[in-house]
Amino acid sequence: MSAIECRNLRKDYVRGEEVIQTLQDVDIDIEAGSFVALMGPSGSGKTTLLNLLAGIDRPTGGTIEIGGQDIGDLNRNGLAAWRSTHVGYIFQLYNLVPVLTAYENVELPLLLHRITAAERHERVADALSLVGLADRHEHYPRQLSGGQEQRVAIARAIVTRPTLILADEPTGDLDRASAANVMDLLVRLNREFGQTIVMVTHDPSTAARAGRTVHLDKGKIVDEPEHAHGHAHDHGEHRK
Amino acid sequence: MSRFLPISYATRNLGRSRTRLALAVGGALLVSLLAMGGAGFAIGMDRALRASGLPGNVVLLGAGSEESVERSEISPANAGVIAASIPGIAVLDGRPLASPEVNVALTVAARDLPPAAKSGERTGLVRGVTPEAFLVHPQVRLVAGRAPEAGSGEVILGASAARGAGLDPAMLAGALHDDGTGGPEILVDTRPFRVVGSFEAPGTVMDGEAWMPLTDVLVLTQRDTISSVIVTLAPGTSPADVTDFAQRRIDLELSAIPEPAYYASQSAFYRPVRIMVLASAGLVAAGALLGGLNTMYAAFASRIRELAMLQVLGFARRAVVASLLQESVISSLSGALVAVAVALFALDGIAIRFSMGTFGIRIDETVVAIGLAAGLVVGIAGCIMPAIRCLRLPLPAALKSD
Amino acid sequence: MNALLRSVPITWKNLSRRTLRTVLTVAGIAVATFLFSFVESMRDGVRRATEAGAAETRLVVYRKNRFCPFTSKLPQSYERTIRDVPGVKSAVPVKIVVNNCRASLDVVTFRGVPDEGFMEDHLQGASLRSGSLADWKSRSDAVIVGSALADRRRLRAGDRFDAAGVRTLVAGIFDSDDAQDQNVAYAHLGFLQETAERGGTGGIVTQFNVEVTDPSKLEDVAAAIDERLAHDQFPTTTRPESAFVARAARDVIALVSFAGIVGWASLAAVFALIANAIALAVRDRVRDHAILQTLGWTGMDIAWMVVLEAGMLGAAGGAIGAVAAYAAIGFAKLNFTMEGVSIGVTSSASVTAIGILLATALGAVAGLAPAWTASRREIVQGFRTA
Repeated sequence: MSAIECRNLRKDYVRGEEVIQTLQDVDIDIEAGSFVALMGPSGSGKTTLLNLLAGIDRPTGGTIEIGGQDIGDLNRNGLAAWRSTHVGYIFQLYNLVPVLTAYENVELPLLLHRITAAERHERVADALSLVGLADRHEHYPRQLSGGQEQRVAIARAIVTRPTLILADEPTGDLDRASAANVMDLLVRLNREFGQTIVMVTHDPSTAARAGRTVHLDKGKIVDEPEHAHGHAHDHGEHRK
Repeated sequence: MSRFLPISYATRNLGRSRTRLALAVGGALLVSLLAMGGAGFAIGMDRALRASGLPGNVVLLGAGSEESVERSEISPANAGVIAASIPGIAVLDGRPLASPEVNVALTVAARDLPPAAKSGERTGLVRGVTPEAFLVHPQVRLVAGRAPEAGSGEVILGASAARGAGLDPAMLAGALHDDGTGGPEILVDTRPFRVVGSFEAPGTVMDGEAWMPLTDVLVLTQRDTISSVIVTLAPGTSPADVTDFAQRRIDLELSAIPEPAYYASQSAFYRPVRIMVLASAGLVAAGALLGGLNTMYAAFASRIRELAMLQVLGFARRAVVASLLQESVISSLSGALVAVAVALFALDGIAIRFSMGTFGIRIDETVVAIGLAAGLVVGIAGCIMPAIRCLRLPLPAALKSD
Repeated sequence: MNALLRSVPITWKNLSRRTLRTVLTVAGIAVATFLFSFVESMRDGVRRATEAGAAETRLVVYRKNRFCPFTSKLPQSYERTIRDVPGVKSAVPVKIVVNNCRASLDVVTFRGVPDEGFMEDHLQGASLRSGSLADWKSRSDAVIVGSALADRRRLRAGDRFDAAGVRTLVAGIFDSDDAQDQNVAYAHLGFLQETAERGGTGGIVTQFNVEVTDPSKLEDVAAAIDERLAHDQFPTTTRPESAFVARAARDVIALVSFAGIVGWASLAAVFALIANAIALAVRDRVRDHAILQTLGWTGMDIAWMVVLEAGMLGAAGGAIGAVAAYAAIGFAKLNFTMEGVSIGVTSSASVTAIGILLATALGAVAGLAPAWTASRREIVQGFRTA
């Protein structure tokens, strides 16, 4: 069964007189447990697609069904509630709340869930140790390196055990070593925990570590030569 | 070598956010206006009292009444003794410059005021005088009509007193003829009196008084004692001579106080009231300053990267601070200048009626200087601390901040 | 977690971890609330002194058209005339000596009262802090001093107390709820007449304090007294005590109602300070709010967080300011005195509570507009703005 089904997805932006068609009739299915890289040049609509999937932006037309739920049916509040259980979002610029510690940042989405304080603590601690930051609970974002910040953001994305993890150029602002580290983590989440991941990137070597690559250009899916609807490739394995 | 940023950099930055500029100018305006309002009140009150006392005059009061002329009592017989026996009183045309006076608080109201307004609530200060009063109080200048005559039911009004009684001083002066006719009738202590003259004594408490013949006031108030005798000393005479005289003549039961000292003590009496006014103005200004600081911290925080960039280009921190200071002081001083204009047009001369009489809020050079200084302080204080805070960051961190 | 409670820790962290902004804002609000509470306490004092209660039974007989104790002179012999007016329960001749008739904060008022009866009655509702009534009775120059006056002049039983040309000995100090009593030194009537008039005019008093039997007849009795004395050599004006105080203290009342403007301005300042601080905070946190919404927080959550923060700022500043005003007023024991009557500025729990509540409510209201803006902003647009 597909985790995500998009049909005739359209997104227009109005700038003054001009209507910019960012996405045009996009159809895409993403299998549960797959790791998909969205690639394409700047302005191709890949981040817009990701935002639509995350339910933080609304399509101009078409439908998005995620886990059997048509998210177009949800109102503002319903969508927010849906996001809190189904989506983990990883930003290029980490987007941690500066006044909160690493621990508190990870805890943030769990505050929306009806769980006990003890369970909350356990899940936050688990998520942080999974990303290798068990010793950084009390650090503020400004006291962390970029790679560490991004790992906190990953912990925050997985702590609610979402249906879907969406990552917008997660390594775009990182040095090579930190980027590799972050990618290892995502691959591991996909392989060991069967986590569905959709990642936007413009770096072919980063995209290569996903199981499937979707190319976007001028708001359309251009070609998708190979349907390897599967897990991510192992470290160092490259596609042609 | 240190290079400074051109002043246009500061002025351009001012235009970046109109809201922020309005807040900065408005905040400085408020602080400056409050400072001037408070200072104008305190200075106006103090000046009115001090201007009322002349260095060459000595006030003689009943012993034990040094604090308040209203409770002082001197028998009229003694007034004559004083004029005759005090050494060194100035003499003009053969008349010693000794003015027996009685000071009382009575209702003074225009006749045709609505009943609610005249029901005894319009208390004015009434001074019973003899012709000598005009000689010992040269600040008093008759602008229309003539001096009141005893036994004819006549009164003259100071400009502020006329206003207090519900009359327009300019119209009153216009209506009065030189012979004293043409003036309206007013009620003093609910009894009718004709206004035969109007006077001005700008900046002194006498401007807020009604003057009537001494004997009329004594009859009206059923008093048999006067309040004080004011004497003007001949040049070369020391007030101490009069003080000595009062101490020697125990039988007269008199206290002698140089007029400036008397009014200085009156001014001191009101110090708590002035302190309260100044404290309130200061507190509101402090609140405004705190709000302004908040805004400035936010404004500078959003420019940390830009300020770091300037340093990377080679400008010293000093130069950056100087430019920020220019920016802040330009806006706060413009606020203060507007405040000065507002104060001069709207606050200056506002008459405040208080139990000492009437005095005007004074916006003079001192007060204007205080207002500008307040604006400057706002500009500097609002800039320096936030500037230091955001320039303290190491450059690499500052460059990366968002 | 409860939808309203889950925002509290985050809001608290936002406040407590941006120390500078919070301190500046709270300090500003505290200053403004301090002023407001102070002014309200003054108004409270005026209200208490000048608003007639339904049970008011006291009249003051004063010389007609005289406004200062120096000039109100009535023969003591009127006592009998007034007593004979139907409805009068008692009439006490009182001689008042003040060091100054004008309004200020440090005026000394002596009240000369009869040797027998008056003080016993008068001290019933009050407690003697030190000294004794017996001491007062045994010396002709003895005074019993109200606590506020005693504190201001640092007087203790046994001290000499000279003011307004009167030399006395403090026989006792008493506490009273009545602002009039707190600022007065009670002396023997005869002694004060003799001293103040320098032996000249004994038998002259300033006023009569009259008790009536039936409070509903207060005005009628007042009119009857004036009627009886209208054609005498010294006509009188009789007013209920509250109205008498209101008239005598009109300058103070004018000052206080002017101060009322300062009070309202202070509230406006609270509002402006919080509105400014919150507007800045919300602008600063556009990205934070977008992050929260991405994580599943709703627009309502964000709005509530903003209002909560504004309310907390108001509450904190309000509490500091109002409590500081409470303490300052209690410490300063301010009393405006004019023409021998006093208006006390006393701290009260209700004024303090009102100050805190108003600051909190104003804060929350000031947060509404920014809260609305923040909650309506689209997430994607939020990230783009930041």
